[in-house]
Amino acid sequence: MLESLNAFKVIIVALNLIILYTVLRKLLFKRVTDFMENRTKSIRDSIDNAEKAKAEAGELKLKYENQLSTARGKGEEIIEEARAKAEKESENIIAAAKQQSESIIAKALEEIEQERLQMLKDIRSQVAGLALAAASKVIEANMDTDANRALVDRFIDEAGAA
Amino acid sequence: MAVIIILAYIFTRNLKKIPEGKQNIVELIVDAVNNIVKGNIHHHWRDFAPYFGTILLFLVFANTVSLFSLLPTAHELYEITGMEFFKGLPEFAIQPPTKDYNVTLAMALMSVSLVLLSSIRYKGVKGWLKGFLRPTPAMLPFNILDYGTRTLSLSLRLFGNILAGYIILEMLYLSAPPAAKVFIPVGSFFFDIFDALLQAYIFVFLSSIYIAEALE
Repeated sequence: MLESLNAFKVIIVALNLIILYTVLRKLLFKRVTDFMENRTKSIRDSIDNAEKAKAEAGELKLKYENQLSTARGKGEEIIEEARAKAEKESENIIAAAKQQSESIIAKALEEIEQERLQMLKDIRSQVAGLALAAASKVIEANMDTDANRALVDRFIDEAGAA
Repeated sequence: MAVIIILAYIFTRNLKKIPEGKQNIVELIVDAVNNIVKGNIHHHWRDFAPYFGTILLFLVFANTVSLFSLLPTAHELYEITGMEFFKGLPEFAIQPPTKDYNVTLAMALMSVSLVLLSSIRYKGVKGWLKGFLRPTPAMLPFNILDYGTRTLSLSLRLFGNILAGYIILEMLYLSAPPAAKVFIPVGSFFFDIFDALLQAYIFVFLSSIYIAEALE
């Protein structure tokens, strides 16, 4: 075996391998390894980004939900307040109207009573005048004296009372 | 060699982000090499992966090239078909280059030199010299011997395996009775593929272990 050893051939093979190594390193291994690492990195980055975006979206959602619920609560509060105010106001208005109407009715009643009294008084005096005129026509005498009028008035009072 | 370079060029022409077709094969090979080297040489794997990949690819091609002996030779084709055309073709057989001890010796020498150089490069001359005294100073002669024995064991293991497989297969091709010729593909499968790939892997694996040891 030893006599077939050939230093020249060994060196040639080694040189060949070195050339092959240089070419392959540049063409194959470095390129593919770098490429795969870049891809791994970019995939990892995009996954990270996606997760970050997801977390952000979740936070925003929570925030908006909170805002929405507070807004809803506030709106209900406002509506409740307005309703209470309106109720109070309407009660006030109704009460005032009632009062006013009552006072108007009372005033009207009073006026009616007064008018009635006035009317009664007028009627009474007219009736007295008419009676006197009739009586004086009957007795052809002027009964329109103060004494006679008082007499007639008493008579009418008695009749009215009866 | 030219075949490997051309293949490497074709396979890496345009790498895409989503692997498809031949890119899968390249990524598989490169990733496998990277993983072997990463598993043995932890920190500096990036510096050594191309070398081991080269050696692995070269050995895979060199060891399995004898598969072509399965094809009928020109003479056999002439005998089968009776066509004059085949008679004029030159007789040649592809032999595995690793059956030549000069080749395996060159490869082993390169690996051991790489161990030596990387040890000096990463640990300095002082660190390298100190390495001889580990684990105890009594190991000094054996540590020195290692450089020689490793060269021998690496080169002889590869050479012996390939040569033995080659010889056995040649004997089968030449002398097997016609009935036994059906076993040739079986033997060819074992020696040309299984043993060839195994030896290529072992060579790379041992070399990387030596380097990992040198870098410790």
